[in-house]
Amino acid sequence: MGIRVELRGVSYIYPGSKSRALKNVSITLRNGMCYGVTGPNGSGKTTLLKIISLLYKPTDGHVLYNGTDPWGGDITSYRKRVVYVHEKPVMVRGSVLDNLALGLRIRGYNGDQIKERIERIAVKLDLSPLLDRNARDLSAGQRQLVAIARALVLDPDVIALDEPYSNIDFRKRKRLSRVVNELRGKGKLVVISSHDIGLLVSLCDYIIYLENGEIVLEGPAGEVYRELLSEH
Amino acid sequence: MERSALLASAIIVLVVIVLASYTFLLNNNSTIAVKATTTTSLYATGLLDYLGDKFEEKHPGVSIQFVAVGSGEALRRAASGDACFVLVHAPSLEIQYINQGVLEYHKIFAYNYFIIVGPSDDPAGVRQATNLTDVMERIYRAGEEGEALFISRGDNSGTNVKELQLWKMAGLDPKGKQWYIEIGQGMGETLVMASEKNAYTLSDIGTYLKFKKDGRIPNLEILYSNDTALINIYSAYLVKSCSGEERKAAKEFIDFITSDDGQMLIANYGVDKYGQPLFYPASDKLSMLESTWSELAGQG
Amino acid sequence: MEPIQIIVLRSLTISGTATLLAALWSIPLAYLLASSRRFRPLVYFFEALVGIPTVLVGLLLYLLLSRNGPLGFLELLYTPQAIIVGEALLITPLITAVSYQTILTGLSYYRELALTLGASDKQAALLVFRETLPSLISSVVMGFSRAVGELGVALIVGGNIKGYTRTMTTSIALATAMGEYEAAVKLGLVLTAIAVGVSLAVRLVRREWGSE
Ligand SMILES: Nc1ncnc2c1ncn2[C@@H]1O[C@H](COP(=O)(O)OP(=O)(O)OP(=O)(O)O)[C@@H](O)[C@H]1O
Ligand SMILES: [Mg+2]
Repeated sequence: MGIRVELRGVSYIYPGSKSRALKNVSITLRNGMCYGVTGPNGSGKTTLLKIISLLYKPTDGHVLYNGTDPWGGDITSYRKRVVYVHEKPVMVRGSVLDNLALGLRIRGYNGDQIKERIERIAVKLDLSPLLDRNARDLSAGQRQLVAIARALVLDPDVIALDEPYSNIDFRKRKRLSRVVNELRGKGKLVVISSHDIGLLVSLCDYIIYLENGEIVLEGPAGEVYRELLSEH
Repeated sequence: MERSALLASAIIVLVVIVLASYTFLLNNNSTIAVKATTTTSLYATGLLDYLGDKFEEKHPGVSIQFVAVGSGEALRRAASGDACFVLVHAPSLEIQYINQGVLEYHKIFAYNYFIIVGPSDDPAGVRQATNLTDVMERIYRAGEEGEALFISRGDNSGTNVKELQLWKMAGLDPKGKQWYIEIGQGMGETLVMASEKNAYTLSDIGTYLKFKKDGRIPNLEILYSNDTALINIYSAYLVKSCSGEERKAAKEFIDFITSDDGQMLIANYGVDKYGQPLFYPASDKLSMLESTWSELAGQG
Repeated sequence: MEPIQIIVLRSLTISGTATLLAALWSIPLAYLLASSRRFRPLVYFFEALVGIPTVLVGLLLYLLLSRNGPLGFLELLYTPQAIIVGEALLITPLITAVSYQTILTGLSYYRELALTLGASDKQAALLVFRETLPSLISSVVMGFSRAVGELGVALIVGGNIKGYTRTMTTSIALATAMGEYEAAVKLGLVLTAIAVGVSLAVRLVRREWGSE
């Protein structure tokens, strides 16, 4: 069954902060689609992605997963359906393999299942040569890829990637884009934030443009792109 | 696997060590533990541990535990019930606690003499003094003239109390003078400082001999001694609030150190090491000591 | 004088137990402080108390444990247990304040990571604990070093009783008072060696563990 994520009048204030990082955001995200989120630094992209991935509870308004509010029920069971990959991901102690296994272990998979799933994702993202490396010795780009693999290996319904391309080399970018397309093809809901509008337009179906925590522009990728071009 | 085996064995070894430490180190394996507060200078001579060991040989199952602080503090702590008996040398303080009714079973078990020590060149001329008042006056005068320093324990210890009495007896008040240094430390530290600064001080003979022999106080010499006014009387008391087995053992200990055997041990203690006794047994001169004690107690 | 090994072993046992005890409540406390902003003022309180004089802790505890004091009925004064309690209290602010910083950072990194991977609150807390463990151990070792090297508490509530509550530091104080400087220096060197040894061991363990 597909998934539909709705934000209804969502505002978010960071604890201890006075101003709203997100202001009254409403949008509906559907499965089988890729959404690109862009906007200037500090406009609220990261905050929006974390709201979608159920890491932050809206200060005002609601997030709905298929019409129900996860925050009103068993949040952990909803969190198991969505992943968020940090722009500068942290690695836990141990090898790359240990890191890839982290979420699977949390979910109680057994050794064979873990091995099989990791092998599959490692081939897909070209991580096999890295598996035995100490995860904390990796370069920024390698870490980012490992973190993406660590999330995708869980086979989630909703995938939020925060600036996934920022440290990735040209060849890996193409590989990553292929993976994103494949996910969309499998009916997943993908949300990607980036400053590279061109890339988002080539990859995604729908673009959300944020400024000061508000959606100032949204629509099908091509339209938004044309609009932005004509503006600047 | 190998690592976890190693870890497991390390943990087992650790647990064993910890358990062993608990059983042997932190438990009082004797049936009766009797606590005594006493003065640092007396404890530091080693006499008390020596007497305690001898006593415990004869009374298996009893352990005498000494807590060494200043005389004033020793009495105060005993009075608040933290010890079963007390060994001190400050009659004027002792009388206060006797009057308050917290101490009883007073036994004088030893005595020796306080001594006036100072630099060998003796700028105050203490060696020429004819009596104690003269000693104190000479030091005071030299102090005022900037030629001598005096170090005071300043810790309400028996020695400190004695020293204050001496000044009072001479009709002098050195408090607040530049040459009068109160350091609030034990006898050993006071002697070392006196030696370092070429100063005068009042000491008990035991601590002086020990430090002198070990070469810690090369600049100090005994300048005035053997005056009966400098007598230093060591008394034992039972604390009234202490009861039961502990009280019985404490009383036995006091009886032991005042017995003929105990007095012999006291008389001979340290002779082999220092060539002269550190303490004199009280039994020979008990009536003289008792009247001196009353006098000193009255001088408060 | 007692054999030095016995004194060393006793010191280690007393301070080790005190440290474990302190860790037992300080680390959960630090977790609590780090997870809720409401308790933030308490953090400053603990940070301010890190340097509390050992003599003051000893004295306050003495007043509590003295037979006439409010806790006198426990008959803890002049026992190793009294030193254990005193040292545990003494190092609580240190372990709490240092662990707090560690856990705060740990929470912002690893709790969020765990949640993104679908962990429950309990699993997330476990991951935070696992990842911060080396740093937490370091903070506990700092506490141990302070405990094993302190004099005030051991002297005042322990009483430096031969064969019972005599520790390395009280032995050093006594040896100094008795003019036995060689013995004092020897004990001091052992004490230093232990402190250095423990911190080296922790360094090694941390490296073996591969933490940053
Ligand atoms: N932990 C925080 N506490 C308080 N304010 C925060 C916190 N994190 C972010 N903010 C604020 O919230 C607003 C939105 O931040 P957010 O990280 O969502 O921006 P962004 O669009 O992802 O920026 P960038 O392009 O730099 O990644 C900013 O004004 C930022 O200062
Ligand atoms: Mg961001």
